[in-house]
Amino acid sequence: MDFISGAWAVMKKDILEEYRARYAFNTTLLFCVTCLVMVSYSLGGAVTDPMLQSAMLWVILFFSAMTGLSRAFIKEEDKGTMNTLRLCCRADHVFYGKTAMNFLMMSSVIVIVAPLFIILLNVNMRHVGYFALTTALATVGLSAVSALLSAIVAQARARGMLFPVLAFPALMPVFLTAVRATGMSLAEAAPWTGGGELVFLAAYAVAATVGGGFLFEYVFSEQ
Amino acid sequence: MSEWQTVLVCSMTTLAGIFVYIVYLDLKLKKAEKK
Amino acid sequence: MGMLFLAALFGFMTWTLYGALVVTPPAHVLGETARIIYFHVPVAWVAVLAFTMSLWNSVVVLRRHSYEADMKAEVSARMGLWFCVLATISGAFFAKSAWNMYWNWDPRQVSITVLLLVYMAYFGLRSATPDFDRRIRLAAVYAILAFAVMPFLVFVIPRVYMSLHPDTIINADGQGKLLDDKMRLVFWCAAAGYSFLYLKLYNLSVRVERIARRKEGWDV
Repeated sequence: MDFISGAWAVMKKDILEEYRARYAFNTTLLFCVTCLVMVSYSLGGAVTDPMLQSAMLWVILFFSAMTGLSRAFIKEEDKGTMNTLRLCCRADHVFYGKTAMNFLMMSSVIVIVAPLFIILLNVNMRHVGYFALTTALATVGLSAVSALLSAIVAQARARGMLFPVLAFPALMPVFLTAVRATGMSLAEAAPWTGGGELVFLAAYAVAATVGGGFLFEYVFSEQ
Repeated sequence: MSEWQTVLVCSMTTLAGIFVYIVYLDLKLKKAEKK
Repeated sequence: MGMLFLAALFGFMTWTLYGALVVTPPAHVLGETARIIYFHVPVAWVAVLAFTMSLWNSVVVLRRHSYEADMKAEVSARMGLWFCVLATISGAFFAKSAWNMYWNWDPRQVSITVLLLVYMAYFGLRSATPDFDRRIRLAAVYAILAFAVMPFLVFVIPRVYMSLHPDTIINADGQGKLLDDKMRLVFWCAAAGYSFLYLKLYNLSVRVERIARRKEGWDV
């Protein structure tokens, strides 16, 4: 239980910080909503294909994640609390705490943005359960990889620009599979048996959290 | 010359050029490493 | 890898080239355009080989903080990137001759682009980290992450998404697409030839890099 309390301590600190200033959450949410509104407006009510709608949703979510999740460790580095984390917590506690925080933030954003997406783009969400599950799994993978890459980028220069450069190729598998899965949840056929999207997203989520936790130690600890 | 013969000659020349460069670089490196 | 070996390799590759262009017959459906497989596929395979060597050396960097391994990881990643570029370009030429379009974002073309982006990002990361000890660790972690993503790009995407890319021998259903024995022989010879050529180029590049780094003061 020590592991969970350690990770929870890191996460709780971030939640409190976020609650006081709400900087990252607000920015991410606003960015997401703005993009969604722009897309919806420019489409002008044109009838769109489910795969296209799904693609637009995930492009918007991904770019929001690029802006919002990169701050996870960059803000620690900027505030000078990176060393505090190194001293007080074990590396994997920090990683899992940060991953959990990323997940919490992204899912809060998605919970608000998904209904807006359905309304603004006139989407027919046929299989809500499938959509919820695949999106949740995709978000787990996204959170874990973003946490690892944020720690990498925090120690480099040109952080703002470097993060999307590193993250986009690494997250391509999640991105493509999530677009497909969401497209399937918008289509008529029952998605649960068709294709391996669900399995793949689950596998990626597991690989990202376990592998990320393992690699994180090398990124985080000083020589 | 037929088209294929042209392609063949060009590609073999390129290959030969690559190998000549490799040998040249190899010899230069050997000299630099001896020092 | 002495001069004798190089001479033998040159003779071998010349013979393979002759075989590829003159001796082998045109393919079943694709005709003369299929001759590109004697270049395109071996070059793509060499890129994977180079990236695998980069992965291995990156693991060594993390375990022993070895500057030598970092040097090798960087060199093989760079060469892998170059061979990947060659594979992309040759693929585009094939696409033009077979389907009259250099680029149409076919799933294979998407995945090779992402692969290029991953390894370009690797070099972006290296140049963005001024502290050397940090650089080798961060770059090693990213190289491992990049290699983990690669199987998805190379193997999963073409199976899941409908692609115009011709099936490989490995994937063929029952009978290989390369029906002719001569084609098979020349193909494997080409693959072997390019692999050895890569190893020689890698060896030279490592030696050059070693001298360059020693000049900067690093102990390699």
